[in-house]
Amino acid sequence: MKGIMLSEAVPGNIYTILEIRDEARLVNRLSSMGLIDGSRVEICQNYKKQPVLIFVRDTLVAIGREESKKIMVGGVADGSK
Amino acid sequence: MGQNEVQKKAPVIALLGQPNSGKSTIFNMITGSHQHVGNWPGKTVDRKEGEFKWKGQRMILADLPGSYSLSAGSDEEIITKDYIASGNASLVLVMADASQLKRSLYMLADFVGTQVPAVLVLNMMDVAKGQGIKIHTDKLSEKLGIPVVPMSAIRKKDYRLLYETIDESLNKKPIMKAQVLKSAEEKMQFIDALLEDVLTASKTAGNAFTKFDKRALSPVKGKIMAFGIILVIFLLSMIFAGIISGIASAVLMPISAVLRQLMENISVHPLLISLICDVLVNVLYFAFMMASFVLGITLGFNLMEETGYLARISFLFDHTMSKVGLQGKTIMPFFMGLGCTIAGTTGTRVVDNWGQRVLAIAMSWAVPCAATLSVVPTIAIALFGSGGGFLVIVSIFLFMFLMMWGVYKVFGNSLSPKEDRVGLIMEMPPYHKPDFRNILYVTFQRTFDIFWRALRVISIVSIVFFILTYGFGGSQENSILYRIGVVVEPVTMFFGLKWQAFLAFCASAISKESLLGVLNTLYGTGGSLVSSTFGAKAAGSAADISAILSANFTKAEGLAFIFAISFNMPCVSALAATARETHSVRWTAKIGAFYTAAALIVACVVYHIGMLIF
Repeated sequence: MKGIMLSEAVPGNIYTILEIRDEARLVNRLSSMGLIDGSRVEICQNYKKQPVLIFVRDTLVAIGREESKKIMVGGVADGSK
Repeated sequence: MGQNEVQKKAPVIALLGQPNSGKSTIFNMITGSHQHVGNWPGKTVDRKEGEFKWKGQRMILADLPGSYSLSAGSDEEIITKDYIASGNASLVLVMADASQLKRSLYMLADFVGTQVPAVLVLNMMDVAKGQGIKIHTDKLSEKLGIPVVPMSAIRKKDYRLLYETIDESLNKKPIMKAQVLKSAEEKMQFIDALLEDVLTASKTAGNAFTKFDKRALSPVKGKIMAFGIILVIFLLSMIFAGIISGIASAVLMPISAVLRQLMENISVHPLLISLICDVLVNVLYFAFMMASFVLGITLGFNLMEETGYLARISFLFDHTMSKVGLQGKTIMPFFMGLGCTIAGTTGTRVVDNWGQRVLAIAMSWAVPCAATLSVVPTIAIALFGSGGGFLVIVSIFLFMFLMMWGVYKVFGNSLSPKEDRVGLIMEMPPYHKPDFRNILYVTFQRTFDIFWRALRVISIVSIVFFILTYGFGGSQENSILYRIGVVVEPVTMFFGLKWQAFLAFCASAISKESLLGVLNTLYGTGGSLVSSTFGAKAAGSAADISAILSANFTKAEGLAFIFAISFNMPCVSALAATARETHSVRWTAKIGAFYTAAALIVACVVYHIGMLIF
């Protein structure tokens, strides 16, 4: 499964984080917000030129545009179910 | 050492929690006015400690710097980690947000394995309840092996349980059962296992991302709303400052007049009379005016931060501001800088990264403050007419962006290195009702701090300036500054500044409002340079000043002067505030030198181009 970048994710869908690319610092920062490989994230809002808004581990989290390109997600499930 | 003895007697309790966990509310509610803010040795992070009493026992509460975990490497995290490891604290209160336990227990998971007695404080129980979240705190406490205190930090009656638990835990020294958790996966698994039968009804995305947020965070509507809110705060602060300065002048001016009369009657030396009535009274007036502006804006900022709205502003403007290495919330200080540079500077406190904070302050200096904006149009219109004057003002604002860009180019990389920049990864905290007592307390504390600092600095600088400009024997030609001015005129003329203009440029360091008054005195009817520098309100009428300006400035000189005063470093009070906020006199000086140099170079360029055109 290849997955897509979080920046391309569709609002309303639930994804699983497949891989966080790049430096350890980003991984560290993300993990303290509850984002690690295998985390389930629900996309709340995703406009271009804005951070991506996701719901993960009880929390509404904003991820900057550039950072969201380094997070690969896959395994779409419809959030409305 | 005295302090050590005291600390032996009074146990130290440390507060550990992620930002937005309500840590500062608890800290303020417990310690009240018995707190002091310092620096961690060699670091630019605030060190906050306070004390309180429970059943006659004095205790010290240490607020550890906020960070999301203990494992990354920021200054805050290192300080916090070292502090806990040092064993200074007898007890650590680990805070978590009950409305989002799955994430906020991460700090606890980081703390696990530390052999220091601890208590878990579950804050925001009221918010959690409102969202239908159910938490079995007894079970949680049993699994962890330490006491758990459910509470809402803004509810006073919830503190009794906290105090009792602290008291008990200081004796029993409860230490968590679990082993150190190494990887993030282990920590998540620990939290999940912990919450398995503790959290019976949990939160959904619909709960977190409300209908209101859908609007508040939308690209267009959200920004309009944010600008509206910022504008309202800005205007309210301006009105508030206007009222306070009106009252201050209504009270201070008659006092000054009476004092003058009294001293003249008993024939006090005129130098002393001038010092007291012209300088000190007005210095007090300036300080009041600034403080009232800072008060209004700080209040607005704190309200937004406490309710959770500030995070939304950060979100909305992140994309724009990240281009210059700043966080989205720095849009606020820039906006506030239009009122008062000090207010903008104080506002950057919401930026958690020191380098970015200094960079934001440095860039916000370029924003012309209300005082500058009240002077520049007068000069511009006097010299260039209303059409030309308008163009000049527009060009000042356009140049402002160039100046910011220049600051970014010069300081950006050392203050906010590209490789250290972490883009926005931020929680949008649930909206919650703010505690007004806490907000007012923080606001007044900060305002008083600024007020005293500004008053001290501006007093010293004013007295020096007073001595330099005092016309011994009655005429200004006898003042020290005049003599210096005349000598350096050949140099300053290179920048398009005659000695009078150069003097006014120097005087504007005390207050930007004084510019017109100083010019009026220098070119006008004589009078005392001292009175005109300090008695900004008594400046000559607009008609007079227009005549003076057009008679004594060529267009090129006038333009050079306008650019020089618009982009010179801010007044000394703003410098003092900057030194306070950055904890660094060195950086304040660096940025100040940059601005003065830039202002003179710009004036020089504008002057020489102006000479070709006009």
